[in-house]
Amino acid sequence: MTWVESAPASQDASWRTLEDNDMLQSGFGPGLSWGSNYLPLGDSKEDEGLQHPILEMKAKEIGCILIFFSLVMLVFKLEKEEEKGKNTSHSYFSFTNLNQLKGFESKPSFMAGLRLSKTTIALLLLIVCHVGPSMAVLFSQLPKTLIVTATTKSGDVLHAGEDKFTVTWALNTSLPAGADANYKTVKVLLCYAPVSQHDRKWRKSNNDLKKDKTCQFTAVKQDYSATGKHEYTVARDIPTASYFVRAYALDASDTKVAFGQTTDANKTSNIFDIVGITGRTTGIFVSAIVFSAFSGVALAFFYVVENKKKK
Amino acid sequence: METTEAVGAPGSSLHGMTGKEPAYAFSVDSKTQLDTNATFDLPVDSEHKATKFKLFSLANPHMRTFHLAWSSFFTCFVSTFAAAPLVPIIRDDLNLKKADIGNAGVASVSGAIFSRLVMGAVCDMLGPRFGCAFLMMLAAPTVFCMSLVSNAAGYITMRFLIGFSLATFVSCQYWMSTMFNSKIIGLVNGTAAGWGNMGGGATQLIMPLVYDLIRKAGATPFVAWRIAYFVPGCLHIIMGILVLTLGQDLPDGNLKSLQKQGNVNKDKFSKVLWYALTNYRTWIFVLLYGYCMGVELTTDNVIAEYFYDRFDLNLRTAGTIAACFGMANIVARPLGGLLSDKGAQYWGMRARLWNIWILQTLGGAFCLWLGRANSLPVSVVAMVLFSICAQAACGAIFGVIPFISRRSLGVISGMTGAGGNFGSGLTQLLFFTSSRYDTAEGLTLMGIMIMACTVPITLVHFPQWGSMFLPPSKDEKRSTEEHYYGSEWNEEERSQGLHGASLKFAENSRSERGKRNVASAPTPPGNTPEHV
Repeated sequence: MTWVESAPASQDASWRTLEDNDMLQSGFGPGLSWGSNYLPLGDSKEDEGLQHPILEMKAKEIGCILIFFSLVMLVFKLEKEEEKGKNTSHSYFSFTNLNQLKGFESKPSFMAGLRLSKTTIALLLLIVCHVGPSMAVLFSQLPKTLIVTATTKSGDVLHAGEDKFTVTWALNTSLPAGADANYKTVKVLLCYAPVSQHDRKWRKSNNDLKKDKTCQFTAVKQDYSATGKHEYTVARDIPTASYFVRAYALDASDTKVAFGQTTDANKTSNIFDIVGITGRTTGIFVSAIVFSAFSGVALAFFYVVENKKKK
Repeated sequence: METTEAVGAPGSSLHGMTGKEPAYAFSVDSKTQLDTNATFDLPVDSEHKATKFKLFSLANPHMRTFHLAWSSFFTCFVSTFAAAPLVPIIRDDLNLKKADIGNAGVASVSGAIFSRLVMGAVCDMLGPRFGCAFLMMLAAPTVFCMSLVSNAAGYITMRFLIGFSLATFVSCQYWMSTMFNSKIIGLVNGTAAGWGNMGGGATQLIMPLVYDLIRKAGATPFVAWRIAYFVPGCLHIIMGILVLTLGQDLPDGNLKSLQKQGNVNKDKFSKVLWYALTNYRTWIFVLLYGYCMGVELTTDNVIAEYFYDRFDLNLRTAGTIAACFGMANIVARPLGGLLSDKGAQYWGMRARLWNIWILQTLGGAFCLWLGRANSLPVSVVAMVLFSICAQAACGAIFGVIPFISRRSLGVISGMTGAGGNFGSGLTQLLFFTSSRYDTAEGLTLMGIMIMACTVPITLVHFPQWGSMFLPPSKDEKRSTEEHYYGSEWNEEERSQGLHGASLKFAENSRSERGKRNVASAPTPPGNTPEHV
């Protein structure tokens, strides 16, 4: 059996790895540095709809933070109780009451419970801090500050693994200076055109970028510079579909802060096609024939032998 | 007078059910005549059929046959549903739309409707061993050819052809009935069916695992899934060869007697079919089974893709979760039957009917919850509960089927089985093929449909035992089991005494009156019911 050469490692975007999925699955946002991401971009007062970060938080996040604070209060209260030497009759610990009624030794269990609650609280602290700032980045609020062009023309047909095209991106020069102050990396992706998303909910566009499935293949990811270009060879595992190219600008914590794309807002212009490699190698073809033939021959053999034995 | 059942007579594969003993007994009572001269590993009766069911033995011929039969059925389930966990990869390779995926799912379960009917005839002609082996070996090329498809039409066609292999259910049950005494055949068949169905769950684990290994070895995704399909194909060949070399048709290994009796049908098939079709209970149970086994097959097809897309899991994780659905079969299906028997001990047939209604309606409710669940843990819990209830309902339904008719038992069982596949095809066509509903909505609607389609069981009424809400008939003549089972034979046949076996069955089925009523049942002289 001959194998097709494996795709370069960076093209693995579509076949999600375990590490990617843990983050996606739990819906956790970036870590403790949640405050800094959502400050307005420099002096830009463009009404792109950037709202105040606190007001933008959803009920879920607020709920998490409330729980967190109430747990912290609980811990402090417990500590106070312990110091005062009380170990009975608190509504939080009705089990201690029951234990006393039953004559069990309540004090050690209370102490153990408190020690346990401290470690749990410490763990919860870490988790909640991690959970709290899962604020959604909405596509409609991303400024289109990059101008992206590609050497592909509308209706071009490219072959996976063979053809190349060059993508160029540049910051819109009409923007005030410092607009790209927090752009640290640029990520260029191949995105499905609406005709390839039709009847295929697994490629659906979603305003919440965490749930958006439009762009599933990374062409290149590199450090940001005001202009840049990259010659991209279409990866071997790109499926047959119609595409356009989009570039996201990411800040230091890998959050999307701006974008640019080769097509218009309705995604109708400059759409090109890619023909994928189906994976039907000669090796597979031959093996399938051989195994199938073996199956038929073996059956006939056993049947004939069986009949002969009977006679 | 015991009428000897011709091997191969219509429905003979399920004529083990006498109606007297619990459907899931582990061993026969001491009244059965044992052949003490036989040198088998298990105690056997006069026909050399085993009277005990020793699960973890591979002794020739009885237990070995059991393990060969259920594992070949398991393999067919693996290959039929092998595409399901790999759909996220296949859909990009073949540029499939949602309609194509849905239609392929419908096709994969539809083939078996016809092939199961043909399989009965094949088992009659060639014996269950060859029937099973033929199907396995002839289905193997279809599995290998799946690796060669390049468009939606090819994909749908191959899934349809691979689906034919689900007819091994018939050969499996038939083979069991030649090897195991009728008193324990219920448990044996139920276990074999449940463990076979488990293949639908195992495949969701096996295929992503194999796919991952092949990818790690260096293949691109679109090559890897095609190579992964060689695994079920090779399993087909291996199982086929094992069946041919290690299996035997009868405990004595004697094919000749099978062929001598095989074509002598003691009953007219047209009559048997007529009594099956004109009994309204048949159709209600066909509908019910369509919405417990049918939804199980449907869920096997859609659940891995659902978890992959909805919760952004990777293929392995989605497959593992999806596997939990099918693997519950290992205990859930026999559990349904056991609950049915336990209930029948106290409250008779009414308990069996309520048992089915409760399990299946709960299954529908959990399916609805599954469709509405927004977080992963809740989804998994809902799915597991749904699987247990749906599969237990399957087992419970087959606890009632033997009592619908004695004469047409085989045909009714076959129709019920086909109804399962039909229900699956219909559900996939309605809710999982069009773009109108996404999969979550489809699951919700499926749950509602399950609950709605379980309501007709309230209409099932046996004159001698009553129904879910109504008591047995007050008419003295109509409220006997003999009248019910005897009414399947016309005057002429009755005068010839052809209905003897049905009468015996009727006597034994008096246990379906439950504890309280058995004492009041009219007993023919010289016969004490067992449960008093």
